[in-house]
Amino acid sequence: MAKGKILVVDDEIYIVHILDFSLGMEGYEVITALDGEAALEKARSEKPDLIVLDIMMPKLDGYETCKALKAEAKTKDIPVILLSAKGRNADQKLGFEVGADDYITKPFSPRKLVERINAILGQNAPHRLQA
Amino acid sequence: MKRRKEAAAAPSANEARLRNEVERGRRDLERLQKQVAELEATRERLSRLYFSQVDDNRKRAEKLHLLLEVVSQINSTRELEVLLNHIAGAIQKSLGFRIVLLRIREPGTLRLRARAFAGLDGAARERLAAQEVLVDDFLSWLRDEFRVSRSYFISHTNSFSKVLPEGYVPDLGERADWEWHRDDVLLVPLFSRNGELLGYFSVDDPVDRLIPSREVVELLEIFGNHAVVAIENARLYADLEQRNHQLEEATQRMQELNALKNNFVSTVSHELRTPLTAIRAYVDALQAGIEEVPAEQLRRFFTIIDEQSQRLARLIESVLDLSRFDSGMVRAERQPVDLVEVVRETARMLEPVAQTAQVALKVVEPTDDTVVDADGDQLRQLVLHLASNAVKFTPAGGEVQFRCAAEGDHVSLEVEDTGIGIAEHELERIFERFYQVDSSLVRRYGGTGLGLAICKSIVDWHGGTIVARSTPGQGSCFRVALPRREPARVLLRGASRLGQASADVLRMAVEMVAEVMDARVVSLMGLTPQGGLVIEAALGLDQRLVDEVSIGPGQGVAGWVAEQRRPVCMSNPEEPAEVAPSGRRQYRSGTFLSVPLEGERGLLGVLNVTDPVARKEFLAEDCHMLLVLAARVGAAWEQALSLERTQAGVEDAAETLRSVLSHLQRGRRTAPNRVRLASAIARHLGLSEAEAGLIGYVASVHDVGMTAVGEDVLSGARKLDETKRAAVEEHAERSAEIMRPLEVVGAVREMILTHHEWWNGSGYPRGLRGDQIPMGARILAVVDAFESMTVGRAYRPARTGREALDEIVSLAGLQFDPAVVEALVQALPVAELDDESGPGSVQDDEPQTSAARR
Repeated sequence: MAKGKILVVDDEIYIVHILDFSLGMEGYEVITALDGEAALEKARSEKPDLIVLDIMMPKLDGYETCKALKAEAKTKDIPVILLSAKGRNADQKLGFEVGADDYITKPFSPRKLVERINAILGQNAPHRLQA
Repeated sequence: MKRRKEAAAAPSANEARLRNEVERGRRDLERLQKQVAELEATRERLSRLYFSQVDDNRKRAEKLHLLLEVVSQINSTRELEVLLNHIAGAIQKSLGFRIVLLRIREPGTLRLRARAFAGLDGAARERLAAQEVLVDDFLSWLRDEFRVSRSYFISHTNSFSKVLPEGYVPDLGERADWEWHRDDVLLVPLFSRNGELLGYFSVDDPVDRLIPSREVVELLEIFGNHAVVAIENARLYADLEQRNHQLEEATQRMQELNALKNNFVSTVSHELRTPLTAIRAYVDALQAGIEEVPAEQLRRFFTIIDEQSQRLARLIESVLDLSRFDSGMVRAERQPVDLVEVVRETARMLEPVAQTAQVALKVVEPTDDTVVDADGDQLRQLVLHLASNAVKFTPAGGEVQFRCAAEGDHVSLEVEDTGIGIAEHELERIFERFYQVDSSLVRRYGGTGLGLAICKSIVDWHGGTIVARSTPGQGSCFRVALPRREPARVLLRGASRLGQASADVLRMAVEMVAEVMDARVVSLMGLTPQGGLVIEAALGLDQRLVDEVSIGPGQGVAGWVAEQRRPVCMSNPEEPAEVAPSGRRQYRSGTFLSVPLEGERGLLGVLNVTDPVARKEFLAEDCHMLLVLAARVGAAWEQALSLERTQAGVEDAAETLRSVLSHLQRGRRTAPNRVRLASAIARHLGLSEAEAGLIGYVASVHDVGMTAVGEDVLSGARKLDETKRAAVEEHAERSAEIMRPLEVVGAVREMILTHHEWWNGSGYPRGLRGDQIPMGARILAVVDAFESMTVGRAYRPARTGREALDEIVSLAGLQFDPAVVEALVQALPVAELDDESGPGSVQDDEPQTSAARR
C-alpha cells in the first residue's frame, strides 16, 4: 500500500513529471493537476494527504487555490506546500497568510521536497530504508 | 519883424541843443521804462514758472509714490492678468483717465488681445476681448505724424482715425473742438528692451476733458515701462512653470518606465527560473539514484534537460534582443532586400517541421516589386517567427499562407493560418512581453512569450506596423507593413550652436520645403562667422555629410548664391552621381535649386533643394516658389533668433526688478523713519514743503543700489575689505541707474548720485565739495549716516542715537554740511536719543503731511 496520496499542481508539465517520478520512487501515490481549478476538483474528489501547489498558474493562482482549499471544510485539513519561483519574503509571508503549511522556492531539489513531505506526514524514515 | 521872424524861425543854438537833449532824454527814459517793464514781465514769468515747477514736482513725487505701490505689487502678484488690471487701475486713478485698455500679444502669435481694463463694464470688456488686433496692423498706425514722446495721438480731426477699428467708443456728449473727442485715440506701445512689440495700452475719456499734455504722456509711458517689465517677468515665470511641469511629466514617465522595467525584470526572472527549475529537478532526481531510473526514463530525462537548456538559451537570447532594441543598441543596417525571397527561404527551412505537423506551407507569388530597404537578418528573424508560430498553432491538415504585396510606398506581408485563433480581446495584448494567451498552450509549443514582442520591436525599428486579426477556431492572420525606404528624418548639424527655437524652426522649415517642393533632398545652410556656409539642417543626407560639409566664402554654387544673393537653378540630369570622400554616395546634383535665405537684418544662409521626387527638372515656377518659401523661412528663423535673444534680455530685466523689489521690501520697515527725518531736516532748514516732500521721497528709494551690491557684502563680512568697499561705493551710481526708468525729475537723479559726496570734497563718485553738492543730497547723507549707525550693519554694530549724533556732529564740516547737522540736532527729540531702538519717532512738525504722502 502506498505511503499516502499526493496532489501535485503545476502548469509546467515537466515539473509535474519529475515530481510524479520522485514521489513515486518514494512510495507515494501521485495525482496531478495543471491549474488551480482542476486542483480544487481533484482535492475534493480524491482527498489527497498533501498538496504540492505552484503559485504562478493561469486561471486560479496558487494563493487563490490555497485560500479556497483552506476555506472548504472538506479540504481545509489537507497540508499544502507552496512551490514558487517567487523567493521574496513578502511572497512567503503571503503564502503563510493564505494558510500554506510550507513554502519551497524554485528552483528546488525534489529530494528536499520529499524530506519536507515526509516530515509533515510524520514519516521520518524514507520508505526504502524501512524496507 | 523880419528879425523877430528870424529869431522865431531860428532859435538860438543853445535852445536847439537843449531841446535835442530833452528829446533824447525822453526817448532814453521811454526805452528804459520799456526795458524795466520787460524785465518786470520776465521776472513775473520766471517766478510763475518757478512756482509752477515746484508745484509740478510735488505732484510728480506723489504720482511716483503711486507708481511704487504698483511696482511693489509685481512681486506679490504672480498672475499677469491681475497685475495688468492693477496697472490699468493705477493709470485710471493717478492720471485721470476714465477708460484704460491694455492689449497684450499672445505669446508665439501675431495677435494682440485685450487683457486688462479699467472703467469698462462686462459687456464692453467681452466685446473688446473678442476683437483681435494684428501686430502688423497696429504697427502701421504708429506714423511719425502722430508721435508724442514715445506714444501716438491720433486726433479725430485726422482722417486716419476713421481707419482704426471701432474698439470702444465712450459717450462723451457734446465736446468743443479743442477738448478730448470720442474719436481721439492715444496709444502707448509696449516694446521689450529688444524692440519686440509686447502690446499696447490706450486711454480714453480724460477727467479734465483735455487732450493730454506731453508730460502726462510721459507719465503714461512710465506705467508702460512697468507693464513691460511685468509682462516679461510673467512670461519668464510662465516659462519656468512650464519647464517645471515638463520636468514633472518626464519624472512621471520615468517612474512609469521604471515600473514597467521592474515588472519586466520580475517576469523575466520568473520565466528564467521555470526551465532552470526543470533542469535542476531532473538533475537532482538523477543524482538521487541514477541506477534506479529505468533506461527508458533515463533517456526521457536527458531529452527534457536538453530541451529545457535550449529553452533557457532561447529565452536569454530573446531578452538580450529586446534589451538591445530598448536601449537603441541594435546593430542593423538597411539594405535592399526582396521580402518575397526571405519568405521563400523561410518556407523552405520550415518545410520539414511543417510536414511533421502535417501543415501545408503556401507562398503566394507576388505581382509587385517587393524589394524593401531593411536589415536582412532582422527581416529573416521576423518572418521565421511569424511562420513558425503559425505552424505551431495550426492543427494537422491545416495550411499556412504567405502573401507579399506592395502598397504605395509600403511593402506588406500577410501570414495566415487555419489554426486555433486568438480571442478578440486578446488581440491587442499579444505583442506585449510575456503576454500569454494561454500559457499552457504557449509552453506546450515551446514559446518564450517574447517572440511577438521582438517582432514588434523589429517592425518598429523599420518604421512599419504589425497587426493581427483572427477568428477563434478558424485561424489568425498577422500583417506586417514596412516602408519601402527609410522615412527621411531632418538631421541637424551635430556641432550646431542653434538655440531650441531656431532648431525647431529649421527642422520644420526643411520638412515644409521638402513637402512643398516634392524634393528628396533639402539642405539649409547657415553663415559662419567667417562668411562661409555650413549645413544647419537637412533632409535626405546622412549625418556625416551634414556634420562635415563646410564651404568657404564664395565657394561652389551655394557660396555664389550667398555672395550674389541670387537664386541658381541647375539642370544637368546626365551628370553622374558624385562620390563623396567618405565612400558614401553623395546626393545627386543633377537637378539643383539654390536660393539665398534672407531676413530683415540681412543674409542668414542658403536653402538648397535637390532631387525632385518626380525626377523631372526644376522649372522657373519652382524657383519662384522656393524664393517665396525662403522668405518665410528667413522671417521665421529671424523671429526665433530674436526670441532667443529676448529670453536672455528678459532675465536681465527681471533681475533688476527683483533687486528693486527686495530693497523696497526690506526697506519698508525703516523707510518711514528715514522719510520723516529727511523731511523734518528740510523743514528746519527752511526749505519749501514741495522740496521737503521730494527729499523725503528720494530718501525712501535712494539706496536701491545697495541691494545690487550683494547680500554677502551687506550681511556676511564683519569688516569691509577694499574690493567690498569699492562695491559699496559703486552703489550710488547703481541706484541712479536702477531708478532711471522711474525718474521724472532730474533733481532726483542728481540727489541720488551725489549723496555720498563729502562737504570737504573727499567723497565719491565725483569729489564735489560744499555748495556744489545739491542740498537734497547733503540731507540724504546725514539721514543715511544716522540711520546706518543706529540700525547697524553686519560689518558694524548698532549704536545709540546719542553716539550716532555725536559722531555726525564731529564730522560736521568734514563729511557733512554743518547747517544740515545743526538741523538734524534740532529735528531729533532729545528724550529718545539714548533709546536703543534708534530713530524710532522723529520730531516732525507736520506728521499729517507725511502720513498723507505715504
